[in-house]
Amino acid sequence: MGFEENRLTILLTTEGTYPFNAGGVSTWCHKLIGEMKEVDFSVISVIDSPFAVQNFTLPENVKNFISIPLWGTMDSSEHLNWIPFSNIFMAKMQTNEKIIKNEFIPIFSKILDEILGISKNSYDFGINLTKMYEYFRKYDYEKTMKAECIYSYYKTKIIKGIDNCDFFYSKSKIIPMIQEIEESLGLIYRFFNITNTTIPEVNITHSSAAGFCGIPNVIAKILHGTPYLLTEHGVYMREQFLWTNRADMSLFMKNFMLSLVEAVVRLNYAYADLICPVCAYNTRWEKKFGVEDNKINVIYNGVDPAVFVPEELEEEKRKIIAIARIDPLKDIKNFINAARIILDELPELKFGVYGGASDKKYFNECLHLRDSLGLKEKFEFYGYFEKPEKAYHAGDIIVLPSVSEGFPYSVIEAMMCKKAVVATDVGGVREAIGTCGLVVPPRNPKELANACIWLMRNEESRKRISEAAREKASRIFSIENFLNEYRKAYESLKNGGFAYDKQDARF
Amino acid sequence: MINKTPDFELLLKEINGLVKAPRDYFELAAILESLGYSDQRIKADFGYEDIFSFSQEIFQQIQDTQSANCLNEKIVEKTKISELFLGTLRGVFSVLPMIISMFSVFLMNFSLWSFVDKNDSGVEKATAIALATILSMVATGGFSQSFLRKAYGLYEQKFSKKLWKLYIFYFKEGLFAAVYIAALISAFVLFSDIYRIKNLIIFDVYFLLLTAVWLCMPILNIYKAEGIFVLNLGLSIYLVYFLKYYLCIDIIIAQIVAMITFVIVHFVFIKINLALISYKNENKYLSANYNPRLLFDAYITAPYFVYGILYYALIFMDRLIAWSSNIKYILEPVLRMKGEYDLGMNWGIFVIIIPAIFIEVFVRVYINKVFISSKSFSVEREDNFIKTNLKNFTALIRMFLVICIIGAIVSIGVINYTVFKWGIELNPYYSDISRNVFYVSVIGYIFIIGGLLSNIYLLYLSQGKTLVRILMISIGINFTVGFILSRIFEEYFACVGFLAGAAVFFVLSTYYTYKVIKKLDYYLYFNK
Repeated sequence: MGFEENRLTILLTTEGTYPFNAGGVSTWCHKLIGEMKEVDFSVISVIDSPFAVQNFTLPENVKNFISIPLWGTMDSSEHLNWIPFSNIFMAKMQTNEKIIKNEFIPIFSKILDEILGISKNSYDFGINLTKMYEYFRKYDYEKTMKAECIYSYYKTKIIKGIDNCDFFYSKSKIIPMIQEIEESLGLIYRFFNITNTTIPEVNITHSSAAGFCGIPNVIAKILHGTPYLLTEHGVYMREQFLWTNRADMSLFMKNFMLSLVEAVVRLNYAYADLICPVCAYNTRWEKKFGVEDNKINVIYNGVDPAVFVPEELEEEKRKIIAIARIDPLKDIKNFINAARIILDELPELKFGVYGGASDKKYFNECLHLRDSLGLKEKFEFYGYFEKPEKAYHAGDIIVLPSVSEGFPYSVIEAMMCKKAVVATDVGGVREAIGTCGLVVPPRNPKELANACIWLMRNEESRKRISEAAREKASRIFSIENFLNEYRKAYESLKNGGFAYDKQDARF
Repeated sequence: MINKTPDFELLLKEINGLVKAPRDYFELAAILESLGYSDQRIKADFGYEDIFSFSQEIFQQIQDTQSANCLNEKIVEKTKISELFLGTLRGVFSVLPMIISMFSVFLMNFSLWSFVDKNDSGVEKATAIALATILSMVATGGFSQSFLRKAYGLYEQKFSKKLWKLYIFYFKEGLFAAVYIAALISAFVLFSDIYRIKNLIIFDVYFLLLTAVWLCMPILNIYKAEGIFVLNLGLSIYLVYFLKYYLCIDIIIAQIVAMITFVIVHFVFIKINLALISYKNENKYLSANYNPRLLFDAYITAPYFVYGILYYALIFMDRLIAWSSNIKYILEPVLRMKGEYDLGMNWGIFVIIIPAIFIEVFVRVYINKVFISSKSFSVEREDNFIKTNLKNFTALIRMFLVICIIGAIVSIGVINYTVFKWGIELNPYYSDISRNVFYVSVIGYIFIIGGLLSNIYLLYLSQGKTLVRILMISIGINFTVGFILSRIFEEYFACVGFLAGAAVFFVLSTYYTYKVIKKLDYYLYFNK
């Protein structure tokens, strides 16, 4: 395994993020691993495809890296590179219909009850997933899950469930189509391939989401008693609600996905010893889903004050910028509309957005809006900028016009750069800014514009606010604070229990 | 109690537009937060403690305002006319190489037929070339099928660079395999001294070059660029014509030059294509752990590899049986091409041209019907789903057989009024034997193309092992019947073995397809 003796070993699990896709969570993972050189990490990354581009080079203290592609492989054991092919072949030969019926179906039945059922029993779900994991140490996943008896069993269960009020679709009187049976079982086959992957033995497991990537953590806890720390960046369940509403899905499939995700989210919440959301705003959801208050400890994201430094020579640029992806959730259109209002009062100002266009259609809509408002010369899109610490100094005010956020890095980075921030009151933004910036309602360009105009006209107030922002960011949102909080959390879990000192609050 | 202000009505309308049949109030809470509502704003605007309590109140209202009709949607889709047209066009392109080849070979005398003497030396040369042609198809069949199996997934996920790398790998492996086979055969021939060295060299060169030519096709199938193959083939044939008639170069040399040129042009096309493809994010392919193992890939694609080899073995088994028997030497181990026999069998290939044009359309139509029916029948009406699909398949097979019969009538007519009419003037090997073999082969090829339609459905549903079973039985019948009859009577009775094998191929392919359709929903899941 490569772990050195006496060093703390941690399994960090990610989903759709580190070390592949860029973004806030990946940045967080990279900082956590890279700065905690005294810890040996294993990383399990659940990704959509085996050909995902790895954007982050793993630090030296990552001793073990496993990627689990959920799609894009021809066999579910294709990613198990460290297992000799002969072992995989033997498992395939050993797996037959009798074994599947006698040993797997009883486990599968209970797992289906949890997925399809309206009420969830997370503790039993965890135990059954562990049994599933143990079964796949001996037998083949592909042969088992693709067996005709499994499909028949699933179909029969669905049919019987039509009149069973305990299942999600019976309550809503949705009768599934044949294609939905194939698709839903197909999703179960894909997602639970996670149980087909060997979990390294470590001191502590740490999941970056309350999703499918938390399954190895739950299994490790049940099998070995390994303490489990869960960090929630966004709220997984909330994100799935939004995703299923945007996706082109039938009602059965939408509700199936939500029922499945709810089972997994509750599983993570039930088994985690410590849950560390990145902002207090997210704790509202966690508590609604039954997480006890004493299990929750907010650990804010941290940025490096040596990287995000104030400008040496502060000169007015007469410019307002946003550092954000061009994405509907970032609501760049709100910023564009606000820019039009601002220019009527302060015609000398300019505006810019530093960020890649993750949604091409939305980007084109932004360009069209900009041009239709006559802002072509005044409002620029600079694209993705590799050094955001320099981008913050391009403007006098940093704007975040989003409709939905967790605890945005761009706000605390801007504060650390001693910039005045105007941001919408979503997610953990108010927690971050407090009185060190201006918080406005979302989807309201007039309010956004008024806040920017006030700051541009009141230079002294702007300077005071930006100094307070830098002071607050250095005190609370520094990378050192962030790392120390996690060190404390790891220490308390390593010692076999959560005894975190809740008195040590900085607010 | 909600105060139904105009703001509230607007909000309700907005939510109704965003969410259909919300599962619970949590879903509404998530939607409200995505619209920018916070606990403070909800309190200020509507007087509720927080988003969750507000969502609980409006949940029932939202449910009541949404009609129950949206709960079970019916999908009505039809295969687009444009898809049918494009499918037919692709079908035309896929048979054009065959048409061009046959035109040049049979009608322009552009083949070994015209330039090979009927003496022993000439027959040996023709045997070498014909054997090289057959073996090259058998050898590449497996590599093509394995490549296609892996490549479609990469193509659909738009991993172009990975796809091309995979293709180069399969091309190289296919060529290496051909080199090994050529070496083995050469060693046997050299030690046994049954053929002239000159003809052995011709065999090796043709075998390797034709292997390279056939290996050019699969990547073009993936990118639906069969037209490139057709164009390249046409240019190569013109090159042979030019070298032979204008520069008076020996036909064998001219063909070798043309084949080399074909492969070079193909790779120039690949290079240009690679340069045109944009490698967004693919240049940094750095997946630390993931690297598909060769052994694993081989295991997964093995049934399809074997299928590719066996399919061509079925098509050409009768030739080897006919060539290996001789009325003078019943147990003669040496292969001697029987020109009259081969002529008849080759003419028979004309019959598959018309059905081959439409095979893709039939496959596409049936698969679309399967998808539509799987979305239209509820799980409680599974029996109706199966019955509908069985009925659709039966109708499709019948229609396809009608097209095959039309194809047979057309090709018999064309051959009768051209090739048979010109007879020995067109080809020195023409005889009554050729004609009789032709009529038998026409029926055999109808069975082959009919069975191929079912094979494509089985391939689509990942039934590789079933396909191997079908082919092994068919080849067994082909060999047994052909061998016995060709030894008891004349070598030309090998075509009866071909007919028997083809008939079994058709029957078994259709039978297994029906078997699969009876559990179609399971096999659709199996294919996920």
